[in-house]
Amino acid sequence: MQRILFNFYIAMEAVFANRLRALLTALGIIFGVAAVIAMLAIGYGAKQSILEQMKLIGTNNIAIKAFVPEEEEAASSSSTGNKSNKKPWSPGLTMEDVAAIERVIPNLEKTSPEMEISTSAIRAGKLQSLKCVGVTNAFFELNNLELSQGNFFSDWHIRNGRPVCIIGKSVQIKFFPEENPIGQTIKCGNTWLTIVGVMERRVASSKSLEQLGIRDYNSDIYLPVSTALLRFKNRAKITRADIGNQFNEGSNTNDNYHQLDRLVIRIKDSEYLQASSDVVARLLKRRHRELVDYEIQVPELLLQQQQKTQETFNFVLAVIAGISLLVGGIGIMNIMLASVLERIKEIGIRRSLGANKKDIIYQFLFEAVFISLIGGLIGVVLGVVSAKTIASYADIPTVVTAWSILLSFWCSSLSRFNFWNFPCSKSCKSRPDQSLAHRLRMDSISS
Amino acid sequence: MGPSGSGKSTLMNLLGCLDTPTSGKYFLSNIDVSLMPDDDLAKVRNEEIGFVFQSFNLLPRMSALENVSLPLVYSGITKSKRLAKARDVLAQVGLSDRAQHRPNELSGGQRQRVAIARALVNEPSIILADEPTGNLDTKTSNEIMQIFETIYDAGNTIILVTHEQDIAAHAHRLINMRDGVIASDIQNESIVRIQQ
Repeated sequence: MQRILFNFYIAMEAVFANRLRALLTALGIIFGVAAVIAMLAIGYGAKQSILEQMKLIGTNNIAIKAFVPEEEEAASSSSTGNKSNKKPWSPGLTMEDVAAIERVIPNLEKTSPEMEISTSAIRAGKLQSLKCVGVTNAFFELNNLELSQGNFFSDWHIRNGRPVCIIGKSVQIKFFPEENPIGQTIKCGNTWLTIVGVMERRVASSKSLEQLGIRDYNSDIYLPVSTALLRFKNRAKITRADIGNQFNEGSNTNDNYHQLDRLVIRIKDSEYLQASSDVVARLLKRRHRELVDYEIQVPELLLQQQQKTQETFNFVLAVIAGISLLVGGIGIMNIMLASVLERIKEIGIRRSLGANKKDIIYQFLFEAVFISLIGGLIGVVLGVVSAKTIASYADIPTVVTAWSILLSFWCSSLSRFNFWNFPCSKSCKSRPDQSLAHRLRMDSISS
Repeated sequence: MGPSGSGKSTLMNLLGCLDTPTSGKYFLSNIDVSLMPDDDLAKVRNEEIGFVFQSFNLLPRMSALENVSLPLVYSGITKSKRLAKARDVLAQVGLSDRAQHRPNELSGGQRQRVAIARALVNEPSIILADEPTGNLDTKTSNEIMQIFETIYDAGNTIILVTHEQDIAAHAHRLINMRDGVIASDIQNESIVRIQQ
């Protein structure tokens, strides 16, 4: 035991006596480990952000985004009944489209029409410009949104276009910092809305929101789509009777166009996602008289594509990190080879003084373990720091996981161990007199 | 003695258990060491034999004292005892004041004396010296031979390889080698007596 301790002590001494060499040796490990950790952090971070986006958009969704061509808008505002326009006239995305989609698509689970109104909310002397969004209850379900207070819209609210709303968390904090907002009223544009619910805060990075083209849900006011159609009249000429008709199929209000900004459809089976989106595309094209004033996106398929690209990217990163570890290992071997003559002489001397093979092996083992441990630790620190730096400067999400640290550490120990052991095993195999004779020959050459 | 290539060093390596014979046997204190496993050979080298080399072969990182105490490490002696003993032996070769110096801070003669101290520290029965004065000037060579004389008088066997006639003149038995065989083996006591 004492002997092992002494071998350990000898090893430490050897390391500290050759600090520069030890540092150079450890450098390969340091950069290798750092590269592996940073690489895994970037890869894992990208994966996480895709998963986060998946969660944000929900699964099996098809998003239809309406856009109103500017000339159309001008034409419609000047004369609503002018259908003899040379350009094909389209009513835009309407509730009728929603009804039609519900009729046609077989494995449809839910439809969530959205209608966006940019307005400002006023209450108790506070004013904030925000978006009022006309939705149905399906919206909350499709976007995985929960309420922290109150209730969703009731059937009665929707059917009658009642002036009610559900507010985002940021809106509550702005307008109702201390009081309970449920039952209170808030003025949006020209309409007073009674608050029936408050949404849970949705935590999402602004970057992923931006990528998906999703608004920040927290600062919106949500009202039933019927209320939006009925009470925010600039969008469409609509009467209470028309709303009744909306929910009875086959109504035909020509004045009622460009109702919706966005329509999200959820399909039951992801297998039919692409097929359903194709059907929806054809259906809308027909209904809109060959005028494509909408855009159909299947976010999930886009994300899957993105994920595949990411995987390729990760693989390339892994290869690069692997190569850097290998190069580090070769660097170690290089340095070891340069000092191998010196070490062989030392082994010869020790053997002539009565050290057996085990002593020598222990000494070199301790030396190798110590340097790879220190190098590995520095590498871990460097890797974590560089992962954080990348995250903050390049704006790439990085996640450092425990197993990535362990993996790189293990790799480094392994490579280090093999490369360091090389001179040790080489000289242990030779007889002590040979390692000494080798040295003597070296002496005669140098002198 | 003998010209280079005559097999002196090979014989030395065999005697020192650094090498094992391809044929034949080597009995050391009535034990056949030619067939011993490595661990036992290491033990024999540690306890029975002290080595002195032409190029000193001290470990450059260590102080003189640590170099001298090195064989004791491998015979498993505690640190305090090790250092005490190493200090004694260093005093024997007259280097007490250089104990903390590293080999590169010592002169050639001093280095060789450290090497001799290292060979002596485990109280071996045989000291093998392979051209111990080969790298030294005449004056220091004489000093080193003086130390060997003292060790000899204390009862140790010293086997010394040399090229130089006047170094060989110190020996009591002179073996001349040529082409791997012993050419002559003569008692040299008359010379010794004359010198005395």
